Amino acid sequence: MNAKPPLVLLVEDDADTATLYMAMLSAEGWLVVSCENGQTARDWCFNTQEPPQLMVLDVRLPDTSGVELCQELINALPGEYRPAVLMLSAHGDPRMPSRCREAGARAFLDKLRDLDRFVDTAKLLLEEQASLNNSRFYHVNLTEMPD
Amino acid sequence: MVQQMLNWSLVKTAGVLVTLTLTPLLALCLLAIWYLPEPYSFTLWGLSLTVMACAAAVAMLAGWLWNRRLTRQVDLLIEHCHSLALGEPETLDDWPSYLAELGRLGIAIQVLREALVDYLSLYRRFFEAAPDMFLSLSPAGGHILDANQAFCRTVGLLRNEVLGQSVERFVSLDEGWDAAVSGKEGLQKGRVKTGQDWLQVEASISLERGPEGQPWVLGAILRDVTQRELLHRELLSKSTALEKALEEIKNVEELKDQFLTTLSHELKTPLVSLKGFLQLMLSGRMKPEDKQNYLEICWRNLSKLETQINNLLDLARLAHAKDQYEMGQVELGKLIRTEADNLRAMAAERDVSLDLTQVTPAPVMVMGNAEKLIQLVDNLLLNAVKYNKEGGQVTVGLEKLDNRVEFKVTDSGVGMAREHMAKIFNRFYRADLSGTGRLEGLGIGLSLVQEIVRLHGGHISVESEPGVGTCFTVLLEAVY
Repeated sequence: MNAKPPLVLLVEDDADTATLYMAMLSAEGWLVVSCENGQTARDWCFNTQEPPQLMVLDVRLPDTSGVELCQELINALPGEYRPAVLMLSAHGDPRMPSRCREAGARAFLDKLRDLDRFVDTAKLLLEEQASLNNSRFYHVNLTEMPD
Repeated sequence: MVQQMLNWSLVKTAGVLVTLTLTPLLALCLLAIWYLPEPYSFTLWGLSLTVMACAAAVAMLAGWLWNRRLTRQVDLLIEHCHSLALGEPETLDDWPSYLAELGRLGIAIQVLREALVDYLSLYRRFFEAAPDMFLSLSPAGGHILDANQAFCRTVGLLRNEVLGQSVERFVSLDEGWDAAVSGKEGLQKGRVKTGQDWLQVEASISLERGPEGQPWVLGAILRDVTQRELLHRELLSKSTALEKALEEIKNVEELKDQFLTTLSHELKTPLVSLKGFLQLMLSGRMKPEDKQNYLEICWRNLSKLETQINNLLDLARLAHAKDQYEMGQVELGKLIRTEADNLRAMAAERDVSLDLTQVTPAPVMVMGNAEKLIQLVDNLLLNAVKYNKEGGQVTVGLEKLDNRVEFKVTDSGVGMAREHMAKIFNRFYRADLSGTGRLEGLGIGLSLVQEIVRLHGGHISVESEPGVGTCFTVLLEAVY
């Protein structure tokens, strides 16, 4: 019997960028739910029966900051359902990775980085998430992804 | 008293004379009467009495003359003192030498007076030479008893025209003289009337306790602070302007930071899609049926990038090289109709209708750069469509008014608040006009429009009402 594919929540306001990431994530065989702003993501998270294992959030969203959304969703979801968060940004602000880390994100990537790098990071986070869920060992911190 | 003293001297003199003359005579008569026979003794008695009467008369006459002489000297002395009191520089040189008894007293008075004058002149000279205005006032009535030259010069009057006048006629204190009289301490601000004008002064009021303990004004020292106040105000206005400039610099810095973040986002976002999809296609991981879609996405993002870069370059060029644009006659009506037609598809997508019925069918010629005018019309029409509501309308108007051309774009969109209207032409200013919290673009569209209008020597204005819509009016010079 095949294992259920991981569920990924993608929050990205630019339609073309969202299409790109969806294509990359779907190609890995994962289920992807795409939201174009913070409110849609919030609504989906609070109403879904099945919480995502990974959230890919854009730092800059039209109605809220991705950093705030990350903190809010992480705090709202109970520990055992708490997903890994990968933050994406086109800002180029050097303070952004640490701000994302403080908000609870496990990884931060510049949007212009190689696409394979994006997929590898998502994969690694999902594997860690699976291992965390299996061991219920939560205090591993992987916010800084090695290059 | 002097008179009494003189009367007493007269009596004394007469007494001494009578005593000195009559005593030996009386003694001689008594001896003669005692030793001489009767007819001789009676004669001697008669003779003695006659001599005594004559001596008494002479003594009285001398006393009277002496009294007159002294009275005359006293009158002269009193007259001289009056002259001195009135400030006449009269000396005792002409004092009659034959009246020398009280002359020395007069000289003593004059010496005393000169010492006093010397002493007072120090204060007088200080009073007169002071650049500040000095006023001596009557304690109860507030009338001017004395005023120095600075005050007389300021009010443009002679000293005798000022003396005795009410101080309130010339000087008004901000808090009134009543406050000064009631013993208010410290410097007070006020004004001194100088003909038709007023000088601003700082008043230092001298007070003293009156007989019943009430404060009395003795005088005032007034300092002209007009220039200082002027400088103070100037300084204040400059300091306010500096603060404002600093605030503006801070705002510009903030705007610059925001702009850099926005620029990074706006330029990188199309690049992300462009690079990502190209990588997908190059890596061969793309499904063949997605190729067309991916290429379209690439093209769209490339165009977006091109537009952003062009806008940025245009803005920089327009601001610094206005004379490099080639100007020619442009038919604005035709240009507007063409650009509106190009936008119809996009407007239809958003369910926004374009109404060109108010664009005059007659040719409207302006002198300008066709490319920039297209950019101007495009930007205004695009904004009107973008910030419109679903089912909304964009009304475009063009008409000739005397020697000017009026181009109007009115939308039925979200409108904007006054705070946005003041800033929308600022570079990099972006307002949340869509109401979604999304700040789109680089914030240079309307700034570019304004630069283009300036390039053509025109004028642009905006009217807006939140929830009703916005109307941009551009005035350009017409060509016949």
